[in-house]
Amino acid sequence: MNVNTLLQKNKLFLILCLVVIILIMSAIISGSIFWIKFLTEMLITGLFALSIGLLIEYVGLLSFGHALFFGLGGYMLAYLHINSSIPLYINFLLTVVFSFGVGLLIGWLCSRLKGIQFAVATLAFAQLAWTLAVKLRSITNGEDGMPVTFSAYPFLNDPPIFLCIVAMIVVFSFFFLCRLVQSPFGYLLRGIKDNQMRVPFMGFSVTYSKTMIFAISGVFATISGVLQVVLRQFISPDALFWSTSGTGVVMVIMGGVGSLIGPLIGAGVFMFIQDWLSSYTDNWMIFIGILLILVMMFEPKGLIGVIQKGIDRFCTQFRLKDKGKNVQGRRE
Amino acid sequence: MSIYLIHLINGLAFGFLLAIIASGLALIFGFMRIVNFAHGAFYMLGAYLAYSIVKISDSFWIALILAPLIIAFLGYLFHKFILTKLSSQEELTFVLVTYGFALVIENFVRMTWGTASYSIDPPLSLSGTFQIFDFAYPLYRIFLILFVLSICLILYWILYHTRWGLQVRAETEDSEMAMALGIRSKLLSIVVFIVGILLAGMAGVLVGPYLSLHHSMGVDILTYAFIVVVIAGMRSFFGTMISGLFVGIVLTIGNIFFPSLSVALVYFIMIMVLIVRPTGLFVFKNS
Repeated sequence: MNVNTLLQKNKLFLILCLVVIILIMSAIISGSIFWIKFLTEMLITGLFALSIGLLIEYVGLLSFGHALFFGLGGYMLAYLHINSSIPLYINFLLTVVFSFGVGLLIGWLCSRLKGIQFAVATLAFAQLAWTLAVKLRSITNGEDGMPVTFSAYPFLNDPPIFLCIVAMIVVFSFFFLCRLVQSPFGYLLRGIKDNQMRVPFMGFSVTYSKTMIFAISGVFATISGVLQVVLRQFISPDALFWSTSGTGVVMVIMGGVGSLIGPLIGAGVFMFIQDWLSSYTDNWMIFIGILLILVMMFEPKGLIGVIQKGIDRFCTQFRLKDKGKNVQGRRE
Repeated sequence: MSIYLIHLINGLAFGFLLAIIASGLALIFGFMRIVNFAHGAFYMLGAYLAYSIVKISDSFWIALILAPLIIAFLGYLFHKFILTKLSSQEELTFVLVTYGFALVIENFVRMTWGTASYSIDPPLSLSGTFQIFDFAYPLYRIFLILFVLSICLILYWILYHTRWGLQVRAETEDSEMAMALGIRSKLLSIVVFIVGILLAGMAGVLVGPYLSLHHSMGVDILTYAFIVVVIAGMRSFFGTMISGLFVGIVLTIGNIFFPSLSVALVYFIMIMVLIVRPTGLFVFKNS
């Protein structure tokens, strides 16, 4: 495979890299700590939305429980960091491995469920985690949340450096997921989404696939949770509440279902709206609700759909002009 | 021993409330395949509306009649202007639209009534107590149980002894067959939806004097309602009733003996149901 085909195959990923690099450079050059942290949070949220979007777009599973993984990542890393002297890297690995295990368990339990039962079941699991986080004050400090400092690792507290670390992790995750959905396993998942009944006849196990992809998606949500707790140096049960999952789903839908970049766009747009509107009112979510309804009514494919239609219309205009010139015309 | 009876009655009160809310949810889903994420929000709006109506008119009974009607009308508008205008009729679409509407309602409530907690006083005729053995039990809770029970009986009678009820049940059990037979007229769809929303609104009014109103009550109750519907299976009305009672009793009694973890117990039951019988406990056919 030469460089040209490599570039062609991963166009989306390279565009993303370019955009991310531009954004990072502009934030760092501007020197504004606010924008650097904002961009960092945007990338983290984008990763979270990506993990949810992966399930919706390529497997057809709607999970309302990803807040569980997000909060699990945050809480576990914080807890291990505060209460033990294990180095941060090992904590991170432990958290990821543990969340993979949790993802396997929940994925397996829910793999038999379809559509809305799956959504509700995952929601309930997340709520269970939230209830535990609130009630087990001895471990989690309950509703007050847990502040964490990472003073042993000064580079984590330096916004531009942390931004670059987060960007690398997010970009790498995106690349991993791009390759995953284009792999044979990815196509198997699409097959499950299209016609679940046929897949076993071809010799594949639906349960195994669903469980595995749920766990993988959970791992990425966990990573975003870990990054969030490092950024904010604080974790509270809100991270586990199902509105966090719901917000993630909203981001995916707003950005657009159909490719991996939709959730990232949705997350970016959402965070901009949040930042813009929350200075006016505490109840800015009402606009998100209205926007969600409008999107589902008029353009279910989200922003990607809007952009796609714009590009199509643009291209069609060109073709029309071409058709006028070519007497023979081209068969479209 | 009588203290357990009191706990049981408390559990019944909460259980009936949960049952009526979950039944509205199951009705709407069974008939129209719409998962109404806004159900809790309608419930919450009903409660807050009742609060304001009671403040203005000083009568709980007016609130009990008026608030559910307003909520039902809102549900009708939602159905007519939003739900029917959706370009795709997939389940996911409905989930998201109702979730969006829930956000709108909940934030509207927060904007209008603020984030403080409120409570509604029960009407004078019901604010006394009733002697059960040596306990003075609040009369309102007895009323709550009896009122919801009679609503359940009315619903049962409609579902199992009228032609409309037959159509609703047929559609719920096997929608393809029902459509082939010409059931699920548009009118019936709207009626079922409005009835479901009405139930939610009414539950909201009823809960005012029983528990307090707070700005997250919509989300809280919706979570429990979903658990009830998952345990019961999303198609069975009767099963939802029973499961609602069961969950309500478990939560209330569990709260007494294991205060931190009674909720976890309910989730555990749900997990058990998911493992053993994922379609739900009360789903008996193989569709």
